[in-house]
Amino acid sequence: MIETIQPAAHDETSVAPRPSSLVMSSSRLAAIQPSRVSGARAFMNKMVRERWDVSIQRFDIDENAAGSFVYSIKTPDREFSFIGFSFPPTKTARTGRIIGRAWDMMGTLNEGPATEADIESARVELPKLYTGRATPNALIWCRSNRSMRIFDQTLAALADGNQPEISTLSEVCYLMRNTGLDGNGTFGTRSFPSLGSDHPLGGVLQAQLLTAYLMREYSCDLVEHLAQLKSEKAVKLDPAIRRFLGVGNGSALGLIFFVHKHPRLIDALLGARETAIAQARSLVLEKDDARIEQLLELLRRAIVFRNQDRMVYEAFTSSKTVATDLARLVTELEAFQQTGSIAGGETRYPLDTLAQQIEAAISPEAYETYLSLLLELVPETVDAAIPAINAPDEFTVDGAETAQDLLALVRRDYDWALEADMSGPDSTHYVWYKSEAAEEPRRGARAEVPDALDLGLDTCGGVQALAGDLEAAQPGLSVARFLMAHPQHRYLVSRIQSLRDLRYHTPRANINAETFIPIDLVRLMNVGIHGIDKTRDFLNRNLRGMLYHGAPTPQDIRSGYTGTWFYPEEPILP
Amino acid sequence: MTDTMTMTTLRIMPREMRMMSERILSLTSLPKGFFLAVQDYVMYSQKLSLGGFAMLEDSSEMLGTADPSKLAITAEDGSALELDAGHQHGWVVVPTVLDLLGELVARFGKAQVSVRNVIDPTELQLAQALGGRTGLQVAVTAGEIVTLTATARPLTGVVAQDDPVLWDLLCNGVQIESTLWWQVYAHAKKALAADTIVSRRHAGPIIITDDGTIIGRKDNDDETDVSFLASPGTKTTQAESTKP
Repeated sequence: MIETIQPAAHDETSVAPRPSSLVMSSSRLAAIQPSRVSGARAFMNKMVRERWDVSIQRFDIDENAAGSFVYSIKTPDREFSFIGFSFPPTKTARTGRIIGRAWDMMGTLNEGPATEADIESARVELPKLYTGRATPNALIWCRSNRSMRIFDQTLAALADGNQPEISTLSEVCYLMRNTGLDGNGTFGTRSFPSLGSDHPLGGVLQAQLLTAYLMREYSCDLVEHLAQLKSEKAVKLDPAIRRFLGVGNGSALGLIFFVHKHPRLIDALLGARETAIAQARSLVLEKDDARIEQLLELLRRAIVFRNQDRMVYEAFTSSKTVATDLARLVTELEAFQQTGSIAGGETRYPLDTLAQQIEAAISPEAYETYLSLLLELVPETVDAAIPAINAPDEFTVDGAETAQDLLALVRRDYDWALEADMSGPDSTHYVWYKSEAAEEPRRGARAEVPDALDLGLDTCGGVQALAGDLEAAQPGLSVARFLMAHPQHRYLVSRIQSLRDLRYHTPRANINAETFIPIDLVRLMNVGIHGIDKTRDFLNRNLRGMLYHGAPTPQDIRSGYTGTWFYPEEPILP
Repeated sequence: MTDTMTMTTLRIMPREMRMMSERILSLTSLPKGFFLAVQDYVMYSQKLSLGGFAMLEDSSEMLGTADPSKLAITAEDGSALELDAGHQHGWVVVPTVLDLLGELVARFGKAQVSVRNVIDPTELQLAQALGGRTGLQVAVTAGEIVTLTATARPLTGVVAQDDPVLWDLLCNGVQIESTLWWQVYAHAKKALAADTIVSRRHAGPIIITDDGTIIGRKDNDDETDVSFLASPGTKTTQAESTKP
């Protein structure tokens, strides 16, 4: 007997988490905004909470930007090292795509303090990249490139004894951009699952996130260092500017493979967010509750951030629109502070009532911004959920289940896939593949790349085929014997059976269809999961944005930074 | 100088082994829904000092015509059954054996599956290691007919206890002779698509037309070398790269 999984209110919530039928639509996933659950924010909160100590140990880089550097990262119980090499920028083979062959920095994040052997190994192996091998203590290999225009202008300003123009910085918001973060076994780096939950970087994506933060710090340290080599009157970056500058990031279609290969992780992260949202919406708040004012301050901060956003978006909702929508929320909450009612009605759960009242009237991005900000009202719930995430990738088959029960499970969890129209050519228009050049993930019309092996997960086609064969099977037949006759269903059966108790694991989309917008799922990963701000869209298939926009500096972290760092205002210098 | 430079072996971790296995198996006749489910088998085999990646390379021709639907139950008596493997390779047989053991254990509390006509029967030892993650304690008796028995083994949710071979792989990887590994790499690349000009245009923030015109906004901040994108890439790259 297959029971329906319905999100249920638990002891602490009167409002149930949103159903997967809503959350897992690709358009809704695309609208999710950074929150306390998102990687960069969660990791920065951890660094601040534990007062990690990031410091430069070596910075041997000449005026042409050739040389090496070492950072030390001390956590409460152990030390890491970031060993890197700087290269003079070149325009040849330069691109933000993964196929690029020109990098301004290459580095390795290692466990333990840097040794001369580690440094020399990195010096030899990193430039080989795809034919190189990491040392056994390596966690991440990384690469980054400058934003040439912004970096050069900042360098010139500092060398002249001035701070860079804020208006110019705000057009890009970073000095260097991540062009590769490889770990979890790639090039012989350590496998993340082996780190364990008591490891400082054992949490979700944390080794990459620390490395990205170090890229940000390195970019600022490099521009200051080069300015000093260039001029005796050079000055350092104003601390407010250092916080404002993030590290750039470009992402493309490969993240769609990630979403499909790590469904438990996606479920855990989305589940943590949805559970916390439900808890916040269930708060019983009087009109003078301090949490209402806290939320108002966050909303006002988000409005300023959006209004100051100078980025250009193609298909995404403009920041001006989001700001206008957020202002409506502010108006409603301010009215609640005065009257104790939402839209003229009394309410025990004002945050939930407001959400229900306003959802249809504002953009999905503004609505999801509101929900994300609600998490700041229940920080303990979020901060406790993140370290508990354990999401192995392996699936298994339950050979004893009957075909009848498996069919019922398929109908319960994949009704959306069974209902998808797969009859027309548009439903199978595209194929997902990797090119032999740096294995760049790509999507192309089947007719244009007829020999490409399809690497995508055809959930709709696969589920429909499986259901058809299950319907034709004897109801009492075991899955073990069903798969002997239908071995082509093995992977999907193991996936379906292994995820049966989860809600937010699989986007409800046919990724091969003409109607599927690839950037939706890339945006989920970048914005909702990683916590990247100001994500600009290009041709519905590429994103550019920045991590750690507004994040504390190492000095801030050491000194126990308090306050809100995300959604930074543009610095105002004297 | 690193160990990898002075020794003839490389430490390879599960991520890369799975990727290479999946790609090479994708070049066989095995259906996608089958080879995706057995991508761990080669690295388990390597870890257990069985055939491993050398066998994968040596068995390409035979796996090229593999057909898991050839397996058939020839006799059955309560918790015991006999399986004719139809002259399929051990890696093709193990999934079905584990499924049947699981079914019989659920029904009878114990299970025995006897397998005949299997190629490379020693690879059936993988069932002993892989059984843990499905909640089975599996024992394998070698012979002309390989006999596998199983009982229930409650899952703990801890990989190190449920699947110690996987845990060892995750912690330590496997040392593989470098020549063999780069051979595997080269073989696996055949599963990737040619890097044609048309293909190159299926990615990235801009499109370059035949006449060199750039379509798309130029505020991507990439400082892209357009001539680099307008020609097929090199074939020297050998691993997947990722970005957040």
